[in-house]
Amino acid sequence: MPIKNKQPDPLNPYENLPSERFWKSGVVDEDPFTVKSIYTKKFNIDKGTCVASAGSCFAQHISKYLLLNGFNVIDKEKAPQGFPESLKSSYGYNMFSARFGNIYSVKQLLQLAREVAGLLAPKDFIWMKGNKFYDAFRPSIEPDGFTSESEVIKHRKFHLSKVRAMFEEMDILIFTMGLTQTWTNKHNQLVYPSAPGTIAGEFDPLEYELVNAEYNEILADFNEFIQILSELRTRSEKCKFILTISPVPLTATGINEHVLLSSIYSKSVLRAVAGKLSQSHNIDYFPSYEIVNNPKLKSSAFEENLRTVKKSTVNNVMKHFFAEHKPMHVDTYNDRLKKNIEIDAQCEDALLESFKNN
Amino acid sequence: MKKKLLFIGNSHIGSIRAGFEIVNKNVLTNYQFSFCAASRNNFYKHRLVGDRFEFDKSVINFNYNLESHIDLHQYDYCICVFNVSPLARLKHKDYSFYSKALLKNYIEKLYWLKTQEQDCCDLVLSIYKLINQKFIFVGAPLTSQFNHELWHDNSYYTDQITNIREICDSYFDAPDKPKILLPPEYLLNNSGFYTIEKYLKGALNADGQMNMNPKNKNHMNAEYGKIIILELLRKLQQ
Repeated sequence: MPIKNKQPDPLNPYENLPSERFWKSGVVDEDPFTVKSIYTKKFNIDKGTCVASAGSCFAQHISKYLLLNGFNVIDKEKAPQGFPESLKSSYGYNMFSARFGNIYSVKQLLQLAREVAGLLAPKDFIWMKGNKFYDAFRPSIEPDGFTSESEVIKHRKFHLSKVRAMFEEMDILIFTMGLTQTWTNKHNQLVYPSAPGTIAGEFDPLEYELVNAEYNEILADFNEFIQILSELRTRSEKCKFILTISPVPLTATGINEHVLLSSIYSKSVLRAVAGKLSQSHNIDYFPSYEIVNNPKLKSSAFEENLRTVKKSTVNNVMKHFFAEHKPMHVDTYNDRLKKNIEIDAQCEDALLESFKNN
Repeated sequence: MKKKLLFIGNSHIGSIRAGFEIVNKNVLTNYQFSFCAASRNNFYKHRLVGDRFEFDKSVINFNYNLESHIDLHQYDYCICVFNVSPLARLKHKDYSFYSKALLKNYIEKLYWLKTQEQDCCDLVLSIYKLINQKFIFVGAPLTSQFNHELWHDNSYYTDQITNIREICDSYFDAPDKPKILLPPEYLLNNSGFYTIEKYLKGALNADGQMNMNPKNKNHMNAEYGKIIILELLRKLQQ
């Protein structure tokens, strides 16, 4: 005898799935500016949540939008009072939660954490340009350089104390992964955000090499970073993470292949790593990359150089974020976004364009 | 010929003027002093009209040796006793640790001058742009008391003070840099940052009357004013 009200078994596993599970209804027929169900937050951010932000150039946009929308974004190193807004980012201020400059790779993030924890005391981190000295781990934060090696060392020590404070205070770290290729010291495996000779320093192929990180290594690095963080913190609450992938393609590749191949490889590996990590209950993934590279936008998301993300695109990305993590202010975030937000991200990677042969 | 010095500012002119009264007059023989003071709330009512500094008589607490308007070019120096000095910025809770290069930029471009009182800041900047090398920033005295926690590591603190002083000293005689007169170190306590409390005793307002505010921590007395004048004259004679 048939059971009353029993739903018939689906003919196939795709029947009765929601519309976002299908390419046609989820992408082709969907408004790319309001992609339904593309992001469902894993945990809440409320007024008291201390949010830290770090990562590649694209992460600067995220920081600024969070701040504008009333989120409690940590900033442990601020510019002096009266310093013009237009100059702050040139000196590495107003970009992230501390003045570390762009952190393009997970290896770089791990290296920073090791330094803060006292597990690493790097030797080769002072580069020169002319008679000025630069912190090779964040070469772009002092456009005029430091006056001496001792000044670099003292400022780095101060900076690490602030990063330590940031690690302690943050409830959530939003980290934007950018690159898999990193310039590395062959002898001690130190990694740098830009190639020696780009901003400061001199390139010597006997000293430095380009390493293109692989999936397993990046995964292990991030897990080690989490471990170091938990040992550093005196708080019992574990830090949560929101990972995102920068949609900005590579400016140039140091690998002997077409830049398109290198760029897609990088983003694919990072995406796979982020996907794996976000299976943990305390790690969320936010799809900046997917929103920007949605085929429905037909590459209109970028400026003419097909690399710089348009302001309207950043707005669109953050709109999806705020659809889940509601802005803290009563005013709608659209009102604030209409204000003149000058967000020209500082990007060492973009400097590589000037080295291309014409 | 006597050098003509004009002091303009708010209530902090009080100690300078009182200092002028008690300075050994032999030191002043080569100088002619003029003072113009209005309270901070009224300072913005003064105007720069072309080359002339037009002050609103109704708000002046004190003027000495002045006409109703001032042709700034007739003075050898115009000394601003108002607003903060770069050293005072260390007091801000968000003050970090800045490189020498950044501090040079910060001091030279007068970014430290900007405060919430934008009208007054604009007026001071306008005067500076007009007479440039004749303009000397003295600013308000550094306070005499900690109001809140600042840095926990004194070495960063000391470094900043040293750099700021070095930069201001080097700029004073440079042809194309702002002249900033910081209070001599012996006016300050061991922090290098707070005025010694004894200079608060007998603190004065711009009208020469005693400052009776029990919470006053940055209006100083005649002795303080005298030291500032002597320091200024020393610098000018270098």
